[in-house]
Parts: sequence; C-alpha cells; structure tokens
Amino acid sequence: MRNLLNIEWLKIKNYRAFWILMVLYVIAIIGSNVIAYTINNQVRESGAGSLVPSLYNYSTLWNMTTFVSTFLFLFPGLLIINNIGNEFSFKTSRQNVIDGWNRQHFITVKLVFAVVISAVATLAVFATGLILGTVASDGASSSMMNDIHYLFYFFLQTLLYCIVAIFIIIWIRRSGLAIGIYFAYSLVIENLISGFIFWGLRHSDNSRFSTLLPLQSSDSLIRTPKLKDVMPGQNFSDTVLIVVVLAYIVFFSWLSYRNFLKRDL
Amino acid sequence: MSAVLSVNNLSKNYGFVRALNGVSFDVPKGSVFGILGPNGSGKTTLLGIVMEVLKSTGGSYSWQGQPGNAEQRRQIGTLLETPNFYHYLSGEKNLNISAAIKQRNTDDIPQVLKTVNLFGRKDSKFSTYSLGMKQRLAIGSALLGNPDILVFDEPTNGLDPAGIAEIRELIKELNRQGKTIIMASHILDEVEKVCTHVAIIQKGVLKTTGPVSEVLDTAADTAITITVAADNNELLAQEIKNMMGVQSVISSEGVLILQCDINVNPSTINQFCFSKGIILNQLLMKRKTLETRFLEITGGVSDR
Repeated sequence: MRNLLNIEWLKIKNYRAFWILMVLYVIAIIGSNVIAYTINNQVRESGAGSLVPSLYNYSTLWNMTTFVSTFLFLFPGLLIINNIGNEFSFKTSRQNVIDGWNRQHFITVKLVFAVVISAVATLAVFATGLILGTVASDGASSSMMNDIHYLFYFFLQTLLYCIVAIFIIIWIRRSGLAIGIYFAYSLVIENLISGFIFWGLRHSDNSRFSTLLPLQSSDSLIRTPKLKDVMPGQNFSDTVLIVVVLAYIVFFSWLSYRNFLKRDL
Repeated sequence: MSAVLSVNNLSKNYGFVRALNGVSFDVPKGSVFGILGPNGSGKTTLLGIVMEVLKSTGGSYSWQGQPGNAEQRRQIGTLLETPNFYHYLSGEKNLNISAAIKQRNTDDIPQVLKTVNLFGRKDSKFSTYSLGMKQRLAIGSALLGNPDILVFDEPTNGLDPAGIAEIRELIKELNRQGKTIIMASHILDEVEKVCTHVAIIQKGVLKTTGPVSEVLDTAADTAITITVAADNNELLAQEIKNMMGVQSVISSEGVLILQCDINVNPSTINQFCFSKGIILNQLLMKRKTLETRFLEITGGVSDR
C-alpha cells in the first residue's frame, strides 16, 4: 500500500492544476466562513444582537462552519474527476496495468485519494472553526468540544461526494462530460427528485424519505443551525442517516470497482 | 525451445465485430517475433489481451507457462499502441513512475534515456515532446530494469528514417543479448529486416505462422521472378516467351518481368538469349519477398 501511495504522490506532486484547485478549496472554506461570520456580526449589530446569539459561538460553531463549508462541494468532485479523467485521457490507466499494477491497485489508490481529500477539507474546516470560535467566543457557557461530531459528519459528506464523483468518472471516462453530469446531478437533478418525493408525500410522515437520496442523505446530516430545533421530526435521526451515508459510500465504491475491473481499458 | 508466450484460440468481439477469431501461436524463446497484418487486423487487440488491458471473449494465453498476472507484467517491457505518459511531467519523472510500478530501482534511468537519445531533454515536459520523442520515451520505458521479454507495438511509428534505423538496430542488439522480442507491425520491410519469426493475421484470423525463412520459402516453391532487359526489348520478349519454364512475360518500365518455374535460373536465361543472338544488359533474380507473400496471403486489400 505504501508503494501505491508513493506512486500516486509522484503523479500529483508536480501537477500544478491539482495544487491550485486544492489551495483554492482551502481558501474558499476559510473565506466563506469569514463572510458568513461577518454577515452574522452585521445582523447582530443591526439591533437584533440582543435577541439572536452569534452562530459562531461554541454552542453552534461546528454546525455553522461545516454547514457553510458544504456549499463548496463542487471542489472535491472537481479534484477527483480531474485526477481520474487525466488517467483516462493520457491512457495511463492502461499503462499502469501494463507496467505491472492490477486493476484493483488502480481503483484502490483512487478511493484512498478521496479519503485524503476529505480529510484535508475536514482539517481546513477544523482550523477555520478554531480561529473563528476563539475570536467570536463571548465567554458563553458552551465548550469548544460542543457538537464537534459535525466535523465527522462533514468528513462523511465530503467523502460521499468524492465517491459519487469517482463512480461518474470511472463510468463516463471523459472529464468534460463527467463534470457536467456531476454538476447537473448534485446541483439540480437530485434536488428535483427529492422535491418531487417530498411533494408527493407531503401529507404524510413519509415525506422525510425524500432525504434518503444519495447526496441528500449526507446533506441532511448537517442542517441549518437552529432550524432543527424549530422543525423537528422532518428528518431521520443522525444514526439512521450515518448508516445510509456509509451504505452509499460502500455501494458506489463497489460499483466503481466492478466497472473498472470488468471493462476494457 | 520453450514458448515465452503461448496464445491459444484467442477471440475478441467488439459488439458484432470479430476483432480476433480463434488465434493460436507460440512465441519461441530468444526469437524476434513479428505480428504482421494490415491496419485493423487485430494486432493491437491481441497484444492488449495478453497485457490484460482488454478482456478476451474466448481462448487463453500464458506467459512462460503461467496465466498472465501483474507479477509477470513487471518483468516484461511493453509499448502498446501509443506512448502513454503524464503530459505535465518531464520525461525523467514519467520514467520514475514506470520504474516504481515495475518495482525496479531508478538507477538505470539515465542510461535508458541515453539509449533512446532523450537524455538532453529529460527535464522537458512530456507535452513538449515531438511524436518521435514520445515514441522513444515509450521504448525507453519498456527497457527499464533490463527485462528479458519486450513487447513493441509499431515501435517505429512516428520516427524519422535515422530513428527507424536506430530502433531496428536496438531490437537486433537486444535479441543478440538473448532477449525475446514480440513486435507488431504493418510494415513488411521492418518485419523482414528484424524478425526471425512471423505470424500474419488478417481480419482477426491467423493466416500463417513460422520462421521468416520458412514462410518465405513456401512461397519460393511455386515460382521465381527474374527481371531482364536488352537493347531491343520487343525482340527479347518474342524470343523468351518460347523458352522452357517461362510462365509469363510482363513488360514494365523498360524491363521485362518473367515469372518462371523454379528450375530456371539467371545462367540458363543468359545462355538461352546468347544462343538467340541477344545480349542482355540487365539480369536480376528477385527472391520472393515477404511483401509478395503477404499480398498473396491477405489478398492485397486493406481491412479498413
């Protein structure tokens, strides 16, 4: 495994486009939270401050930072599709096997790559939260560790988006088209389907099943801060959602494996 | 001689197209084995299957008696169809990746780059290389770790005449060192100059296989071609038509091309003409080339 990861490192070490995208992603995570933090402060200074607590207070800090950061989900998908799309367009996916990899080696490394990207993004969110939390903390009662499990939810969510991106590029094999499908599905199509299910079941308790679609399930783990207190019962419990998200991760990984092992390269 | 590669009844369908149809042959150890066929005949498909990047529809193959596996592929240097490298990396960094996958150390990379004349450009990005340089880098990559078996698919593709001569010389030299080389080509001249054995395939069907000399000799059994010319070719044509063993006379570009029985040779023709009072100014026996043989076997049409 170390040899495999070392080879992946050789591939990306000198690939400038990857590093630019990665750095942009991290900057975007920090930047979007700083923007949200500024808006948060302006709202409070406008007079509502005494009524509304800061969302960057430790009591909602991790919920808020992860919630804001998930709007950047296009970045990890783009990183993945660009990376694997290159292998197909350079035909190096083929050359790696010719030179002495098994097909399993190739796909395993890409799944690990997705884990690493998700971990880096989670670390970036953690660092952002630490800084903003320290600045914003007004000595309120909550501890820094309060709701820190949102970082784990964020990791799971980013990983699921990455794995879905892997599945799309392995299946489509052309970067441009794969990016189009990834964007269309994550931005529009799944929300549409989810909306239709919700609308169709709006009169029953079952409307919450609309949150079990692949990307929705992970989105539902991190909901708007405070909203879950206002609208309980609209969601499955976190435990159910985690199990569903993990199941999707395994399912799409398996589909990617199967596709890559069976087809001509 | 034991077989380095043994292909057994290999078939491959692309939808309704049969790219390979029950192909079987053995590649003897120490040979330069040419796989010859027109464009689209299935050469690359065949090599793709034995390198495990394409899935066969039927049949089997073995490398040195064992079914193909990753461990064995690391011991084979392969150039398949196109040079496949990371465009944004330099030639040397690309070879580092190949060496890491083959689990070889990187000590021989400078030497390999010198062999394929790329040492001066080793730090340039692959995307800046010319077609010929890309091809030479791919050949260099195949040479990493000094493997005993080499697979070259159209090795001289994109090379200039000097480069072509260099690569052919390299292949012969590798063979002299005892390495087995499997080479696909649509260039007959190349196979004839470099290979010891040949398999001719057309439309996915194996037409013939064996040592180059045997494949050529079976052709030589039926007829030989002799080119003659004299000051007066019309008179020569009239007379020589009547000579024993001459099957046909074709006039072409100032010479006469004779198809003769195998017992005819230049001296009997010379003697015959002299006795008729004709002095020849040109007399040339053409051994049947692989090209003639190839056109006979394949019917002389491209498969596209």
